[in-house]
Amino acid sequence: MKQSQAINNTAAFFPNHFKKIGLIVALLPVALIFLAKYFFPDTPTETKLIVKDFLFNVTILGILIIAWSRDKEEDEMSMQNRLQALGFVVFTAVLMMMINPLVNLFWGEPFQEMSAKQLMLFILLGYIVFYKIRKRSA
Amino acid sequence: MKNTIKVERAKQNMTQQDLAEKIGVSRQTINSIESQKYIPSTVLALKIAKVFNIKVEELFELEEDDFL
Repeated sequence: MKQSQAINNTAAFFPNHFKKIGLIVALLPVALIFLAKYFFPDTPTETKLIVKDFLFNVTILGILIIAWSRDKEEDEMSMQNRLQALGFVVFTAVLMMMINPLVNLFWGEPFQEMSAKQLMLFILLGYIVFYKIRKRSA
Repeated sequence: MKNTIKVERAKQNMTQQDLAEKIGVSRQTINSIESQKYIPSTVLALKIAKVFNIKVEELFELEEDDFL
């Protein structure tokens, strides 16, 4: 479907097939963790933490690629849905950041703020889910 | 803002998919415009009007609520 630049101003997104690449990148760390547990059971805790941190980054990168990939049929309504999803998720993320430490306290856990990576994951996943909901309800 | 896209489509025996392909949008977008869930951009409105060979004012009409 060829579209004019006026209607389809989505040049900043990755092509549609990047969704599959993103999915592989996001799931790769899960597979690697299982393999590492099987092949390297005696890894020191410090190394485990560094690897875990790195793999979490890879997962976030994979989800970012999925979120920033075009749909098969992308048009001006998709852009409006994306904008609404982004607005909703930013609003929710701010509330979540404020409420999350209080919820932790309520459940008897230490007062701890969300990390930047947790927030990033929440924003990306929230964006993907809300965009899908908007798209299906159209 | 109401529109007569469904009527014009019926006159020309055209499906939502046919119209979507002609103007380069998804079928869902046409469905949303027809059911007044989505208001198209000027470019898209002009494109739709051109497909039906009518003026855009004949296709789209403002309602009382639009002036509030």
